[in-house]
Amino acid sequence: MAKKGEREQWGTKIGLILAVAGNAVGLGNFLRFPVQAAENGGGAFMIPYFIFFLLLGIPLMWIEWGIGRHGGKFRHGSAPGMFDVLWKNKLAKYFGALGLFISITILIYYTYIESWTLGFSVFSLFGMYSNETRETMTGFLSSYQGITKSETFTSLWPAYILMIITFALNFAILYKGISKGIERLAKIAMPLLFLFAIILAIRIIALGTPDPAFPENNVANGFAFIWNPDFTALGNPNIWLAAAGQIFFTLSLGMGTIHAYASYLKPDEDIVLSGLSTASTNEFAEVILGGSIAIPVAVAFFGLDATKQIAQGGAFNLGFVSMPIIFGSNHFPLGEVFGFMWFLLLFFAGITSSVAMGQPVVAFLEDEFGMDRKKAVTTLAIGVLAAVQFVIFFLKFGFLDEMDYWAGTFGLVVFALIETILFMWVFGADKAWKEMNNGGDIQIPRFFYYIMKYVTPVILLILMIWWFVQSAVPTLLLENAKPENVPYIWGARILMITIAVVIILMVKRAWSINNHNKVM
Amino acid sequence: MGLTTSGIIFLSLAWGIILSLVTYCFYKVFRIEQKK
Repeated sequence: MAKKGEREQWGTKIGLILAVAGNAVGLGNFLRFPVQAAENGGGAFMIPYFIFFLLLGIPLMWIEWGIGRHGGKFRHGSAPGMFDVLWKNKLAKYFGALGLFISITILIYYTYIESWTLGFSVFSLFGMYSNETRETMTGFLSSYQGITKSETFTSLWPAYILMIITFALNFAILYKGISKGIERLAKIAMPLLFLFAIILAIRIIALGTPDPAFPENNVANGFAFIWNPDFTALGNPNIWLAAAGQIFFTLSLGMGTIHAYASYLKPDEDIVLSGLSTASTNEFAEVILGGSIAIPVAVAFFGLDATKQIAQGGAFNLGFVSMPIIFGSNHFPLGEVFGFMWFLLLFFAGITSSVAMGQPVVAFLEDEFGMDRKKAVTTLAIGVLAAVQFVIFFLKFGFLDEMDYWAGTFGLVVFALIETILFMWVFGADKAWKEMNNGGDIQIPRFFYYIMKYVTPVILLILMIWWFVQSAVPTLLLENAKPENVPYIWGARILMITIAVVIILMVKRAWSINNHNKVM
Repeated sequence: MGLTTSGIIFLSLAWGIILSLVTYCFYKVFRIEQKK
């Protein structure tokens, strides 16, 4: 931990890359990507996917690293301060408050989901599910979540205790600081995550046809489901938007977390190679490993038609219902061990992301209010622990989904658009370009200057308008909400508005008591 | 069904691009770190 008055720094470059990659690699890499690819044209989906990786993912990654390291020069580890130094306007810091709102709101529900993966890894090891059907496994999950009751789970206590353990782990790591906490976690969790994923992928590929009575249910057909291209899909604009959305989510862009990590770099330390390395590490986890586990094994066990239904049921259905059925099947020898590895790798993917979501608020309290790390982490922990109670107890009423839509989906693209405009247009493209390339181990190819200035903001604007029309308006008007859920959805909105107001007032207070923007 | 020729091409291309990028990045990172 840094001495009082000093800002912490990363211990090693590889530790930093693993930490930012850990932030990006999440549950979506292993659950969301294969579903998206299979549903949106198979191999043909990779054409828009790679195009948006080039035009949206990599440019935004460098922009966020650039804004973060620039803000760090002025002792700002969170978006309000960073935006304030980019744009000399009273409003800038309030735009940055959106970054704090997004990271803390996602942290509230994400840590709870993360605790499920920890719980299921333990359940796997003890063989608590075996020879389950889709009905019984759905019942197992919903009783664990306290939605229904079963012989295994008669109350919410197991889920609650696991949530407390997950919370304690997260905040203990945050308390330890950047180098001794977050970096050390990344150096342990990320190699283990890759090891487990590689072992699982090899095991699944080796499965071939698990039940000879159904020869068409095999792993090769699972790969075919993801990779055989359907070129007619490329004429559908929804496929292109799905690819842009996937790139956006998978790299954890628009959350304020990459900025926070980059703020602990020295002013002349490389960000170009580090940014590219984290993006490519994430793609390795997503396309190569994520694409080789869940969907191929689902096709091998359930067949193509059932897997299509599972995919339409969403990522949770695939991860927490279908995968346990497979690991608990007689056709999967040592399923307990592989199930344990599957859920533990999801837990590692989750915890490396959730500590990143906590860091912007901790940095904000430290940098703008002069709190020590212990006080900052304790303040965040109390706030998050209070808010998560609503998520746990109102889960079945769509409380989590409402928060996930506004903070974890729509809010991200709004924040990314704001930061791109501020950095490339208000701060100035030439200054931004110089800032990003400063100290670079490699230089950014010149054509990215034009992509960052013109193409990336236009894609973000199109995404934002599209999502606004397609989903934000119907969600806001509660068009698809069940009548019994409406009061709880409004409860989620009131909670989010409260969080936003508290953050705005804290930003206002911080700027009224401090002299800001002194260079380190 | 099985993987078609175009499926194998797409899988190989996607994996190839990503593996090349990861190898390039980490080769550079470790080489530069060693020099330092």
